[in-house]
Amino acid sequence: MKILLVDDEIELVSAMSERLGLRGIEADFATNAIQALQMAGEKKYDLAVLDVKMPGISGLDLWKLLKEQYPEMKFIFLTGHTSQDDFKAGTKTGHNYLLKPISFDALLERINQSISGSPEREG
Amino acid sequence: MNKEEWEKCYARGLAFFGRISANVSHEIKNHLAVINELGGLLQDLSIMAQKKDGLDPDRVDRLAGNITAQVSQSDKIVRAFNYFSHSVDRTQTSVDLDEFAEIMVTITRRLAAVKGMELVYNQEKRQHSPVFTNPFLLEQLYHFCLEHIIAQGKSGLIISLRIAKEGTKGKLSFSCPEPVMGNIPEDDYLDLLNQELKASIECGRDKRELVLTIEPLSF
Repeated sequence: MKILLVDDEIELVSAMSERLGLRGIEADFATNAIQALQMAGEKKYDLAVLDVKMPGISGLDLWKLLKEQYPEMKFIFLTGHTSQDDFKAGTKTGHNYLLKPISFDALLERINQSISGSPEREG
Repeated sequence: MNKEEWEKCYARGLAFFGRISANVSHEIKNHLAVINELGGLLQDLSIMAQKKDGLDPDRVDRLAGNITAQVSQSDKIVRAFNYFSHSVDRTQTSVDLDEFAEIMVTITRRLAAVKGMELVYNQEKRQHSPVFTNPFLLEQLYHFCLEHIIAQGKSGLIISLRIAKEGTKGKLSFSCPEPVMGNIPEDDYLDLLNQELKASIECGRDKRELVLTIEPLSF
């Protein structure tokens, strides 16, 4: 399984990448959408974890670009929104997402669900 | 201020307060998210060390230092937000423009950052610069200027804020290297704020500067 983590907070994605690596999950990271698109063009990722709000191209816009180019890719969103309702109202979508600060166990569960094709849960 | 103006002031002021509050809470959550992951990583490394390899003290030191830095940045934002929250306590008070500028840049930096721009308080000589005014209305005028520049600018733009005193008047000057400023579009509420604060906003230096000037309010 190969995962691409995208968030403008390098401390966040580098720590997440290392923690996933310690559990045997290959996870690269990018700190902006341009870098993420470039990396996705060079390696096949099964799943992308995207921060919703990033400078320049947002996580939602990046999702549209990646989804178009890589239809098989799965997605999980990270958001600083304070509640599920707030996130839904802000994005007008029903995406698979986690609220920051994330529970790492919840992230692992969500990754496994996404890859195995289990029904997605919110929150 | 008549009843209609007061109602407008209340509604727009509340919307402004909400926007700033949401922005600050997002920023604090981002710091908490980083602290959470760094703490988790430390825990993972500790578990790994118990199983096989020892812990690298330098690595632990760096991670702990990163956590401390994140807490320090969060604390700065919370303190600035506390100042902002208390700005509604008094409608007329002495505002130190130097402190005001630093506080406002701290709590609004992210508004520029999400558009790929950088907002800096670029005061060469820091000094106490008091002006007798309405702090909450002044914050809204500051926000009008900043939002206008952000709307006009492009990713990569650096917006510098400086302050100055000219006699009893206070000045907040936003400047950037590119000619993106232009005049702020007409807005009834902006007119009302300018009137209440005896303020004016002028575009200068070939659209590279936006200057907010306020006169002191009388007792």
